[in-house]
Amino acid sequence: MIKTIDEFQRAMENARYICDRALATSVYLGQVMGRPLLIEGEAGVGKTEVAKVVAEILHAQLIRLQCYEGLDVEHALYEWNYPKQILHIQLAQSKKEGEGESDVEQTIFSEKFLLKRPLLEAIQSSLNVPVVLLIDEIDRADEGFEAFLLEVLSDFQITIPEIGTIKATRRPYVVITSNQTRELHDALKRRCLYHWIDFPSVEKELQIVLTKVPSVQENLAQQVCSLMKRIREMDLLKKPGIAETLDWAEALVALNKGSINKETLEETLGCIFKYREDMEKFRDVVNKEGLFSS
Amino acid sequence: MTDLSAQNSLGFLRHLLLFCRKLQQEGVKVTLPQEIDACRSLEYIDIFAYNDFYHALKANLISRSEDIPVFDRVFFSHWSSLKEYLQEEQASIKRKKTSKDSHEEENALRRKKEKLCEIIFSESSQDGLRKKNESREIPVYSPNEKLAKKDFSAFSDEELEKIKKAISLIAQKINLRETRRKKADKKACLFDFRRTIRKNVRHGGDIINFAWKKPKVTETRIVLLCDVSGSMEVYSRFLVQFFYGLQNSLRGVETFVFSTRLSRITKILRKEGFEKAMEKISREVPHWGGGTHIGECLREFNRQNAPRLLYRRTIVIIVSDGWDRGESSLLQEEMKKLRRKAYQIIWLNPLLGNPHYQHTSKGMKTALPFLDQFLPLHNLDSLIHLGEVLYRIQ
Repeated sequence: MIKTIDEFQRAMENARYICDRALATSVYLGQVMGRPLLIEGEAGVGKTEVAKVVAEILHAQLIRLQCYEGLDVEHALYEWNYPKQILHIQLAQSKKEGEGESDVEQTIFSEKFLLKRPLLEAIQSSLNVPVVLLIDEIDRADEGFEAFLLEVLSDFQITIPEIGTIKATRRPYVVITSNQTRELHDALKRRCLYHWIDFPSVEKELQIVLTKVPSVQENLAQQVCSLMKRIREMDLLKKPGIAETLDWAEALVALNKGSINKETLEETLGCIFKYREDMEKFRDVVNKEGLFSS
Repeated sequence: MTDLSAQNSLGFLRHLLLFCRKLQQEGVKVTLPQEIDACRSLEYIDIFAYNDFYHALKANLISRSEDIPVFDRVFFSHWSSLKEYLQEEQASIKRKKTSKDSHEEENALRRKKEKLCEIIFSESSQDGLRKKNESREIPVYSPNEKLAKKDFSAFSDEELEKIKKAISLIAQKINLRETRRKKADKKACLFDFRRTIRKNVRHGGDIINFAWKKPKVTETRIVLLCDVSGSMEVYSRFLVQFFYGLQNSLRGVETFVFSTRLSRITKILRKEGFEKAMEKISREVPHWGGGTHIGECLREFNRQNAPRLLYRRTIVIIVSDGWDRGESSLLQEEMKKLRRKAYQIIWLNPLLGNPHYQHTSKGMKTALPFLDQFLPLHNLDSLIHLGEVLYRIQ
């Protein structure tokens, strides 16, 4: 348990995550209030990373649920272990030890035959350490899936018809991320603390690059970050995130480039842009205004 | 950690609730549990640290990024007096630090804080309460009352904003009907392990009866075909708002606009701000405000887009006043084709809101036999009615 906002901010920075006061406050409140933290922001600004870092500094086990279209109860909450159930029924039959039908049914629908999926695992972790539950990219899951989350997130319990309600032995720290491809339902939002991560300022991004890519020279990093800012101000199909910045910086270091000129830019353009149209747009701008406009 | 004495914290609470009320008036959705959480969170931080106080309230009371600018504006105007006091306070603490010993300093600080609580929170909350009573006369958020009967062609920007909200509410309602759960079924294709085991317990583990399941309702897709010809011009601002709202709150919506030609604007609407979308549409849809060739445009749609977009559960919504200048035989032909492929065809006609309206237009007469629903779309009531129709269809 970390007791103050300052401590959190320091701990996250020690774990090499550059974090501002606002994020530290949200993360801290999530911990002390036992509330899930909903983080939204553009792709690649470090939303998922928050959960990983929090797990690291709390010395917690990180359980991750990656959402996708069609994600259902069997993959998120629990599933029965069917082969084991069949074996058990056959075993009971061959023994003929008077175990009636209802007894068998009671046995095979008990916790012993349950396969835990991430959400159940998170509230019933067998290890004696805190748990950080990361529900990643929830906007990819169908709207109906959010309804399943409600019970888990507000009461930290899961109801299984055959068994009953399983309560959390210990509240996990929940981090939910969303890329805002669709609006989440209010019922879910209401249960969460909200935090929006924006693209970082040049100074902050520089700090991040220097922390994450230690082998980079400062003036190169400076060039990378100021170009990134310019790129993000353009009207693009996909704006590059911090992940792209780091990729780019790493690529430049790997290619032994001390500074950026038009050729190096051309060679490494693939690190920044994921669409041909975006690349061409940027090329046009560079040809017209030069690499560093000011 | 902030320990507010009972009396002071009551005053403070009032002040905080007033702040929440102001946020609501500005259109930020703040619920009671959120307010309670916001209060709770203050126990864990030092509310005299202005920044932390700000971040804590923000994390609790905001739940969508669009609300952040509103929050900031309301916060800084509402709590400005607090900031001044705190700055003064800190300055005086610094001055004292040099002279007195720590114990006494602490006491002084505590006394100061208590006094501070008493003064600003109780005073301003009195002030606030009066304001609150006044403001209670004005409904906090009730767009429906005033707007319900007003014609869309006469709407201002602010009112359009409220319509956007109504659309997203409708969309949410429709969304909830979508399920991804598998429903047990005999005629379907997926093996249902869970129920199979259940059914065969009595046979001693030999699987005799199989259970099957199929995906329950699959996603419904909506294709929006919208007339933007000259005769529809008065409704155009509302129309953009309408499909912008639908596009961004429902999955699987495809939006097209037509007059003399057909343009797909799904991509323009997606993920851009409303203003930007508006601007782009006016740039990229040159035939906006042109003549009307419904038949030809439908033919283009049927040829190029229908195979990809129309399947068993696609609802086609056509928004038009039906003043067609093209060949009515062509329109009839294309409506027939559309009818075969679409799950439902809904025609929304803004003119239908007029009690004296008669189907005099040629286009409307031709299309009418092929429609599942023929509804008005001219005010908020009709919009809400549309939401209900869509909800039922699913």
